[in-house]
Amino acid sequence: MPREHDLDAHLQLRTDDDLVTGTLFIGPEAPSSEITPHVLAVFLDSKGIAERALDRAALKKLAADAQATSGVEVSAIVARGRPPRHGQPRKLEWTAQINERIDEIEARSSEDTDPHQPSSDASPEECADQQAVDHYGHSAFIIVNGGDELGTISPPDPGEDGEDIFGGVIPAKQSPNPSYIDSESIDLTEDNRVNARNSGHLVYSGSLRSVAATLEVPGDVGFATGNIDFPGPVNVGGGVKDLFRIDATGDVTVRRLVEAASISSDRDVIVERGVAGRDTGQIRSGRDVRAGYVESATINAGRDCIVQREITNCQIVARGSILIESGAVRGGAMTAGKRIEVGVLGSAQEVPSEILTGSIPELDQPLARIRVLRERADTKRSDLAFKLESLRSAMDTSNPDAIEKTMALDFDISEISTRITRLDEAAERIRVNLRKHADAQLSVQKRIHPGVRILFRNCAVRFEEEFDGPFTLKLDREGEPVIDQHGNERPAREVAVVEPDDTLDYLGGPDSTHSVHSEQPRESLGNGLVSDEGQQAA
Amino acid sequence: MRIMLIDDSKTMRNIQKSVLKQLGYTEIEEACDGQDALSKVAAFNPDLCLVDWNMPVMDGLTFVKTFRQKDKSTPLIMVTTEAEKSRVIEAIKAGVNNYVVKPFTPDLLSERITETLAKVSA
Repeated sequence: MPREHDLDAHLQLRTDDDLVTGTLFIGPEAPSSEITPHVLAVFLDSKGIAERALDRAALKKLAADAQATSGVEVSAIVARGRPPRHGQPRKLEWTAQINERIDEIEARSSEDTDPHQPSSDASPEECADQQAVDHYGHSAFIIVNGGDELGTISPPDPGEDGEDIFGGVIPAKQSPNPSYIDSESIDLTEDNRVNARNSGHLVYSGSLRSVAATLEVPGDVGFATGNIDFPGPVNVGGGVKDLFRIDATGDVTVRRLVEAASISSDRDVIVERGVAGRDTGQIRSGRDVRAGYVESATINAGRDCIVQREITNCQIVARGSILIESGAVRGGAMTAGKRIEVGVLGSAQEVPSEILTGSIPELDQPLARIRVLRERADTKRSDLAFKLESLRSAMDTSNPDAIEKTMALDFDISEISTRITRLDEAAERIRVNLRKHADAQLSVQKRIHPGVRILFRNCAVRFEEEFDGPFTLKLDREGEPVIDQHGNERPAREVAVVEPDDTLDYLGGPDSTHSVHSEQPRESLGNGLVSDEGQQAA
Repeated sequence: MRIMLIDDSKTMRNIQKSVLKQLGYTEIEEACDGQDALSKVAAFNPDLCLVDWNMPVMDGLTFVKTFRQKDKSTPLIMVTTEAEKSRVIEAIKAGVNNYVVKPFTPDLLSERITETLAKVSA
């Protein structure tokens, strides 16, 4: 026993942190003649090492080394446990269609994105092929709809427990659902399918796979991104290049310049810097359009159009107001359902500009159509009435043919009269809606220049000389244009030329003519919506 | 209610049809003379007939006489002109229930139809 005890003093067992390996050290002073594999195994047993963990071959070799190299410390791993196999993270596999789109996008991003610069080593045929590709329609984004299947996810793998060198269990770690999948926007179903919870842009790389409800375009919308059709809001960090298009159901915000491009949104469009449309740029919004400035572009706003600095040579239609409170408007045409507020209107060079307030195209156009139809029907009815009168005056009342002819004419006149009644009813419904939603008013803060023509529904106003603001030009209760300066109203004709103009006198149908000089008050205002009947009648 | 219009003039049929539609009658069959009407009545089984007097092939009076040999109850309205008015008695004897003189207004026609149907159902 003392000798064994002595030998123990020269042996040392060390383990790794996980207790999966045991290394036996034999000191230099150990009596080498006494070291045998058996002695070493007994020592390890005394330390609690499990029999099945012992590496007999290693023990044998270590004992032989100790005997052969007396006076030197030797060591070897002599016990091995079994490390656990941890549960594997679940793996996401996109659908073939999404994989194909990812490949396309990645291939494109690795190419030169400007199609006008074909690679220098491309053959003429390859150049022609490159030209034939629709680079505008190639989107750099994968857009999905809520409920779309995105792929599948591998079933969970629980792993397998390990065993340390003392026989203890080393539990396998369980792997939760992958942390790189955003559960807010991606649904993992029980049958291991992966579906989009909402519509948006599929984020398929980076630390989190998700369906982003807002599309963030860090740079420009151009050849690198292609056109954008997105079922939600779009934020563009750069600008929108020539001929590219954004079509979104949510707000569209562009930080920099919109060139001769097209933006369409069911909600607001905000262009922080400005729009330089070069006569082809277009912006359509279901609600407001806001911009720093707008130049040579067409804007169609469902509600207001608000511009900070200036509008130059643009065609603007806003169902609500057009507000450029401190800025200037030069050239072009503007139509607003409600008021127009502007700092400076026109220019010293007398650039022609046309301003129409109190007009809503969706109501005015059918009304104009009704007016045309009404006039045609009226003419037709007069013609038939004249024919009928002539026939009756010369009619042989015993002639059945003549009787039938008069009856047919009577019948046609009655049909036309019914149609005219329906047209009048439809027109009246539209007028009621126009009165409810339209408000003709132009406010100028600083100055109006000659060359500007302001159209109201029944007249046109133009200034022959510069006229300083602030003032508001509007129609009084009699339909006369008046200028309101600091609460004092006076007829506009005192400072401007007021001309009757029925171009836009849609309200003045054949039965309700209303001129600038009319003494009759305007029809009383009413409320109510124009029903589809009005449109149908038109 | 099924109504048959028997008139050689398409214009007259159209006028009558328009009045009937305004009154809410949409099941309408047309015939261009008495013979054409006789060939259609079995299939259409009208509840009322508007019969013009003057027609080629078979006039209204002949149609009424032939029709009444088999059908005593379906109401018939004769459409006449001022010239035929004196012969209305003959038509009534043949079996017409009412008559309307051309030129008539839509209101008058609808009045005659309503009146005839009311009489028959009374």
